[in-house]
Amino acid sequence: MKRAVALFLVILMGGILIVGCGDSGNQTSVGTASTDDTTDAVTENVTTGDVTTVTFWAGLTGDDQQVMATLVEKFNEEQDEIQVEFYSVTWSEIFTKFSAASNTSSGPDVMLMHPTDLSTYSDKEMISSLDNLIGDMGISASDYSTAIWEGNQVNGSQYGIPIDYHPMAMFINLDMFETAGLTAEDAKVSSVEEFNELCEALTSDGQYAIGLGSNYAHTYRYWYGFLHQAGGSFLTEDMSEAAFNTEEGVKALDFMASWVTNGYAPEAQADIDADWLGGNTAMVIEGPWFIPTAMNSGMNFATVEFPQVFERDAVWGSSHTITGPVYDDRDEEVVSATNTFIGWLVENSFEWSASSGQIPANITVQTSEEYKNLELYEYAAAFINVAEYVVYEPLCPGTSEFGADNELSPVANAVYSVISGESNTSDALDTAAQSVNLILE
Amino acid sequence: MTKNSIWNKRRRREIRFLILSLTPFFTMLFIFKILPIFANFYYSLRDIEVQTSGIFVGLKNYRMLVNDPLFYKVLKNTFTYLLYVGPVNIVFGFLLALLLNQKLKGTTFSRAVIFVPYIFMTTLVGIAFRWILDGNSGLLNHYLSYLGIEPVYWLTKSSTAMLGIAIASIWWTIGYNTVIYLAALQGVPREYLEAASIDGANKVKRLFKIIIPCVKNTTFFVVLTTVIYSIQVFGQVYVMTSGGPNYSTLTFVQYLYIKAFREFKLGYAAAIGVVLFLIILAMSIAIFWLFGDHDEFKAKRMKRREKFE
Repeated sequence: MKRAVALFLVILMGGILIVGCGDSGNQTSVGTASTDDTTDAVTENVTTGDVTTVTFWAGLTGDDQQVMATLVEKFNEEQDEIQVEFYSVTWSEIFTKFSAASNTSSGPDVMLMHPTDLSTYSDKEMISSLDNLIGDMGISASDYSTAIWEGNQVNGSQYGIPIDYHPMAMFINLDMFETAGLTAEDAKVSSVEEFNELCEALTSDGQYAIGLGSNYAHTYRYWYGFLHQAGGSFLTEDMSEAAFNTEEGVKALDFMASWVTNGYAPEAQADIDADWLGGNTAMVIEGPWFIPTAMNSGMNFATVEFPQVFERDAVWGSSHTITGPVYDDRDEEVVSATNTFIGWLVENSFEWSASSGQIPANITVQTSEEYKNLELYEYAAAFINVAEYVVYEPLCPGTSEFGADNELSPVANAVYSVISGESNTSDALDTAAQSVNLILE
Repeated sequence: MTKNSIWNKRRRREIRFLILSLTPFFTMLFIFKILPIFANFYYSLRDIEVQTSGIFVGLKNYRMLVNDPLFYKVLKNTFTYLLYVGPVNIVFGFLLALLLNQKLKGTTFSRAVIFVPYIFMTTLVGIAFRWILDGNSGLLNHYLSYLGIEPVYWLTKSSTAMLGIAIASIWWTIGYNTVIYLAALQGVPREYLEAASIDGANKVKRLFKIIIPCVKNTTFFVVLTTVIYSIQVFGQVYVMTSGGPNYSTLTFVQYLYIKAFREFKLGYAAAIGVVLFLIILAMSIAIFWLFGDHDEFKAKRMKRREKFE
């Protein structure tokens, strides 16, 4: 008896092993093999050949993921020739999967990225230039601000279609402004003195004017804007060397460090958003993705352009951008279905903006009545107004290493170490520049 | 003769059955554990682009590692973590076990309380401690302020971030050592203790002369696992600081993770893995040697020599 049970268990385990190994290998053929299964919509479509399946990957999580999933669903319902399958996990995970699946048909047909990823993946020949396809998608360059359109080009060739763009702006707590005897107009500063005056007025016992957190990605982004305002540049023009360890870079960083030393910003702040929502700070510099959160909090707030304190106008910006991964033997049908889907997505990007807060990059969409009628439109102006002078991060393969999204970014760490008073400004920037040069070599 | 052959047949069948039973497990173990370990050595000698098997570059990855300033930071940080967590986890783990081994009221409850954190997920511990250790509104700073201590920016200053992670880790893992020690303490023969107290040995003497030597094997196990786990610390760092601020909490596995899965430098990451492996191997050998019974070893050698002569 005992033996019989044991034998049964062994067979069961062996069986599981075999099934487990076999399944992944057969996955692709399952759809075509089971012709008798008519309950499954996808299977049915594949066999009858009416419907083309397009896979779409993104690194969106939380609310953004929901919004995009709903949008894709809408596309699937509106027509019955193309079925888009949407898959989204965190950015780092999706890129891991993307790398593993690259150049095979198990990868996506459409993938959402940030412009800073474009050169990395075009360099590895994992995404293709979209120059010849833009016409088929019904998209035209004249619908975008030059800064944003070119921010998605690698060596002059278009690798990404920006669906949105996200520069930074100040979110101000109007109640605290009122208490200090200020209005939203006062937050539109044009010099360091004006900025300091504003912060002076908003700083009082236990209350800070502005947030400057230990989120190194954000502090890097602020500094990136101020660097360009001061007339500096991040890399040399041919993108071969760091160019930020200059007077301008120091000036920009010293300005930010002074927020803490002057007492305008809390020291070593952990969460700038929570402190602003909790009324500890009067202003916070955030991207448009923060608009829905701020609105849901029920606060009385407004958005104002990113402080322009030096000679030129500049603000850091990025996009979510649509890319086309490379793989051989892609069906013509899939290509045209992909183009149709991308075109539709751009056209309907106001719906993406409606819930995610992101600003539509396409000017036709941006000026459409549908977008203007949105409740959050009044907060979008501060982001829309800066479209002409948004500065994108340089598009070269090293950006993924020294850009804000990498925890090891030598630049972001240098910026943070100065703000927290742990390093000397010019030394920190020099060291960071050395590391960047090493990466670029 | 016949009896023997029946026995043999039976035994052979049993062995066949055993092999059959173990095959699934060992297949999996080989594919997912043993093979990757050796593959890792091989990968560390290659320059690997994502979708290819890469090209052979010899020791280039190791040369780069030696010239990488971050590598030394990572080494220092990992050992700092070990120094913070190791001694506390071992010594206090033992002291807690001593305390819980007393016949007092509520020890069962206390045992549960001390062990429960260990079964929590790292993510949970990390996020909870991120709140507790928050510089401006954290719980810990709130209580410290009653003692007149200025707010400490635990996780957002590079001088204290590793300490913050160590605090969370100690709270999380000390229960494991305590439970192991508790089991060992209950195995200390009571006769020894009674005999010693009759002979007039006081509590401290009994602790050092009887209890600690009796749990020596457990101490060996606890030290070994604590060192290995500490060097491999990852989850807490990943959740609480991602290696920041200013690289101050960047540990080995976190560095390896970023190199492999953010920057896709798989060959380089494999080289980091090999170095980590060698460090752990060296530490383990050192611990084995430290706890090895040298007297017994010497005695054996002497005996052999005597025989020889």
